Amino acid sequence: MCVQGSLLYSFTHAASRIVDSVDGDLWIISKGTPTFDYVTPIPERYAYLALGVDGVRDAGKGIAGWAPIERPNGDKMLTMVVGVEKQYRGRLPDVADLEADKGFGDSALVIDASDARTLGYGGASKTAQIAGRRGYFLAETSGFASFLGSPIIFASYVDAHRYLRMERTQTSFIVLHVRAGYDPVAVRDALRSRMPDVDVWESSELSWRSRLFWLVQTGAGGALTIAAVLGFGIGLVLVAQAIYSITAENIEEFATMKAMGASDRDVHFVILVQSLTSGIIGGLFGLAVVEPFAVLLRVMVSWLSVPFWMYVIVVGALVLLCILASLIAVRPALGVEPARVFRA
Amino acid sequence: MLSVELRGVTLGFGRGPARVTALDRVNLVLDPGIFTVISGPSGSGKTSLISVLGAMIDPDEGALMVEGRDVAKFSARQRSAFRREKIGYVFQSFRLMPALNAEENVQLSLEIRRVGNTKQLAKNALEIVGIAAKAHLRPDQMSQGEKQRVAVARAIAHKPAIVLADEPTASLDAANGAQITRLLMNIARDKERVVAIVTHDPRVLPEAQRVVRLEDGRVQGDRRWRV
Repeated sequence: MCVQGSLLYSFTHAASRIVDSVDGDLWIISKGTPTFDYVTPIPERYAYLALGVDGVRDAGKGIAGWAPIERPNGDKMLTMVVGVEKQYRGRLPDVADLEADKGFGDSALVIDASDARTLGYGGASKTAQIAGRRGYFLAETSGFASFLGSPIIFASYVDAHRYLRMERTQTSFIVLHVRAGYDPVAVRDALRSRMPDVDVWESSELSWRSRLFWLVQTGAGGALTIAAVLGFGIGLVLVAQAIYSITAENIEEFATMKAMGASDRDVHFVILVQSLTSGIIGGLFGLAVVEPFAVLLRVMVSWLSVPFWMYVIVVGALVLLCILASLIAVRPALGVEPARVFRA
Repeated sequence: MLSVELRGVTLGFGRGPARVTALDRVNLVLDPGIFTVISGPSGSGKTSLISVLGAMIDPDEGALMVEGRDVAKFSARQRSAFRREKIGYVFQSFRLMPALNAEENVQLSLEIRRVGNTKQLAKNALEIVGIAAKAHLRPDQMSQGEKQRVAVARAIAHKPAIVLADEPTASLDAANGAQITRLLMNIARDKERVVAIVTHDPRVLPEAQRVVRLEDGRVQGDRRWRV
C-alpha cells in the first residue's frame, strides 16, 4: 500500500516537476494545452503584450518540445528538450553558467543521471546529436528523471530554441512575475481578457492541470490510481480473512464469553483488538521493507520517492482497514448461540 | 433472596414429524441455600433444562420467572445483563480461555461483568476453591480437577445469585469429583445462593439436598433431604 501510494504520489509530482521548478507566478501557453508536456509554439510577442498589463512585473520565455536524439549505439530516441531564460529557471539546472564555466560558447546539455544511463551516455561518451545538431552533456542532475520514458534534456534557452528548430519569433511558454501587492488571480484574469487566444494559468493551476491530465486522462495514471485502491482492497480482504479465520477458530471462546453475559460491544472490542494487533504486526513488517523495496524499484522507476508522511497515511489506512476487517470478522462471533456451551 | 421458577416450560427442537420434545410442561422452583441436583439419563432433557434456566434459550411455552419477571420478555441487552449479573456458569468441558492463566480467566469474567478490582476478587475466588497457588498456570498446565476448580472460581467470583453447573464432575476422578461437589454444596449452603447442577453422575447424589429427576423431558421425581 505504501509503495502503491508512493508510486501514485511520485507519478503526479513527476508529471508537474518542470512547472513546479520554474520560477514564475503566471504562465502563458497555447490555447487548450492539457499539460506542460504538450505545449506548442506561441508567438513571443505575448511576452511584450503581457508586460503592458497592470500588475505584471516582468516576463520570460521558455522552450519545451520533443526532438530525437541519436544514442551512442546509433539508435534514435525521442527526448524532451527544455530551456528557460536564466532568471526564470528556478530549480532547473543552470545550463548557461555551466556552459561558461566549462568554456563552451553554446551546446551544453544537462540530463538526469538515471536517464543518462538509459541513453548510454556513461563514461567518456558525452557528445550527442539532437535533431541533427551537436550538443555536449557537461553535467548530470537528479530529480528530473522522465516518467514517460523519454528523457528530459536541459539546454540554454537559445540552444533549446535551436534544437527544436523553432521560428525566431516563436517560443513555447511565457513565464511572468506579478508585482508585489497585486493579486495574481486578478492579474491572470486581466491577462485572459487581454489575450483570449492563449491560456493563462497560475503556476499552481498549471501544475495541478498537468497532474490531473496524466492521472485521469491517461491509462497510466488510471492504472496507478486503481492499483492504489486495489492495494487497500486486497489488504482489507487479507486482514478480514485472517481475522475471520481466527474468529471462526475461537468461536467456542466467543460462545463462552456470550454465555457469561458479554455484550456485542465486548465481542466487537475483542475482535478489534485482535484485528489491530495482527494488522499492526503485519504492517510493521511491511513498512520495514518499503524502503529496501523502493531502492530496488528505483532501478526501473527512477522518479519514485517515498515521502515520510506516506508512512503516516499508510498507518492511518491500516487502522481504518483493521476496523473495517473487524466489522466483517465479527459476524460469526455475534451470531454464535451461547447455549452451545452446554453441549459437551 | 432470589428464587428461580420454571412455569409449565415446554421446549422442542425440529419441525413436523421430526420434532423432538426436550422439555414437557416442566414446573420447578429453585430456592436459595439448597444444593439441587437435576439428574436423569441421557436425552432426558437435562441440558435443555439448564439452557432455559441459564436464560440462553426461551421455552416454546411457559416461562422462566426470576424475581417475578418473565425472562423471555427481556430484550437481548437485558438478557445479557441478566446473565452477566445474576448467573455464574460451570461448564462440563471447563471452557477456560487457553491463552490466559487461571487468574486471568477469572479476571476476564469479572471484566465482562464490569466489576472493579478484578485482580483481588480473582485471587479471593481462587482461594475459596483452593487453587490460589496455581493462579499463574494456564489451562494446559493444569489437571482436570484444577481446571474445574478454576471454572468454579470463575462462576462465583462476581458473587452471583444463581450458580448453574453442567455435568461438573463428568471428566473428574472420584476424589476431584467429590471435592467439586462439596465446593458447590458449600456455596449453596453458606452463601445462600441458588445452586443447581445437572448430572447423570451417581457419585453426586449423596451430597445433594434436593434431587430432581427428569425423564423424557418431564419431572418424574423431586426429593429433598437435610433441608
